[in-house]
Amino acid sequence: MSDRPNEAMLIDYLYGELSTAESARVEQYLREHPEEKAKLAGLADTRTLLTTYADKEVIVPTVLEKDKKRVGSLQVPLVRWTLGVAASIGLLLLLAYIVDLKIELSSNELSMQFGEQQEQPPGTVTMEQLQATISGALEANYEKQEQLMHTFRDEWESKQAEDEKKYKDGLQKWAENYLRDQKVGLGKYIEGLEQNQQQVIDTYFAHAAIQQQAYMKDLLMDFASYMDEQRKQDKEFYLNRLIDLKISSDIRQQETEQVLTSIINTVNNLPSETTTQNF
Amino acid sequence: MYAETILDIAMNHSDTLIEKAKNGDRAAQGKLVNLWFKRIYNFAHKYFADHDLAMEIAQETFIVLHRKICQLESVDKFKPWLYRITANLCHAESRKMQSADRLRMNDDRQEHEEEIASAPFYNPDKQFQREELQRVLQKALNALSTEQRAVVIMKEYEGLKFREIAEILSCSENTVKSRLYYGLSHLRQILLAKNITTEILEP
Repeated sequence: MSDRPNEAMLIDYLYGELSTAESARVEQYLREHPEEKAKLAGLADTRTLLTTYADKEVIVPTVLEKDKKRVGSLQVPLVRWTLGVAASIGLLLLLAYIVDLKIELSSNELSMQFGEQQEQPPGTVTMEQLQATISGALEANYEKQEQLMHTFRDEWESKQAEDEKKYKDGLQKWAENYLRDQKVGLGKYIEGLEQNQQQVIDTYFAHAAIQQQAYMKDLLMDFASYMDEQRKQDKEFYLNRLIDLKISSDIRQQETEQVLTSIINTVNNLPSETTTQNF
Repeated sequence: MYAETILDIAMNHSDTLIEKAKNGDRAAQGKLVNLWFKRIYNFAHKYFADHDLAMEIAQETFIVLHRKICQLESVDKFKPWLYRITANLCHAESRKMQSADRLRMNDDRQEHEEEIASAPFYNPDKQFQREELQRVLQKALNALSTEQRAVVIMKEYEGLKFREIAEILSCSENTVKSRLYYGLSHLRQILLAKNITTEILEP
């Protein structure tokens, strides 16, 4: 098979969807073209890798979202904007009706009024009267404030003094209690400490006496055995010296005997005259 | 490649349920949602790699199902019909995203491919390696064109027949196979660039 199989056929081969005869033809082609065979093996490899991309678990929603198409023209931004503006104006008008709002523009004055119009009081008030009324009201208010301030300061000072006294008494009582408790606690602590120390010292001395006794006993036993050993070694030493003396005395005796023997032999071998003359 | 589970068996043997749903039975329609929601969600998730978008697509798919199942020609066409709704919604969403921010998408795609090609693939921890592999596969799938991606997902993960995919995408079987061939080749190149082969899989 010299003609290259098309991609569709190669895919069919990859997915095992070819007939036996077609498969054989593709295999023949792949034997003749190892690079194509390698490429197809790569695609199979890719398919294997794709299997590792597992499905994600998902919770099925109990209620699906509303069908968007049912909303219709509300989705158009211009319509939504216009409806929004109209609704706002309507709301404002309703509010104005409820609060009985009246807006009036006359002789460069804009006035707004809610509810029933108030009747003007009879007569007119001059500027001086108005000023005097305001000053009087302000002074009265100032005096009232001063009085209130004085009253408040007196109350506050007396309360402060009372609180301070209470605080001092409380603090003193607490300090006394604290010191008393501390003293008692400290006494108990020292007493306990002394007892403990006495116990520790007694125990220590008792233990030390036992230890010392044992140590001295061991020491005396060691000294006695040391003396025995020393005596034994001295004995062996003197014995060896005696043996050496005996050996050396024996050697000297042998030498003396040899010398004497040699003299005797010499004397015996001399001629008789010489011997006589000499004597 | 596509292991059949109990849920798959239930999905493939639900003719009566589909017939009831087709006749306007709301309970049967609800059961169909329960049966197919996971598959449709995962199709969209692999298509966009985005949970929220996948949920939205899946929900829209079933809203369309409720509205139009009465128009279904025959029960045995249900599966390709459902996937066609999903695929159309995915393509529409994809087009909307592209036209809304074409430049950003292109930049992202370019960066995406560069990132896939350049980043080394190494981690001794097996669990992390598996998650990393899934992440790479997800990105690699997103690097494919929408046509190739849809075909690869339908064939490899949804287990659809070539005939069914052709019907869903309204094209010939040969076109489907050709898209699959080039899609797998593209994926192979991306994975090879990151030294990812089956050798990294546990025996």
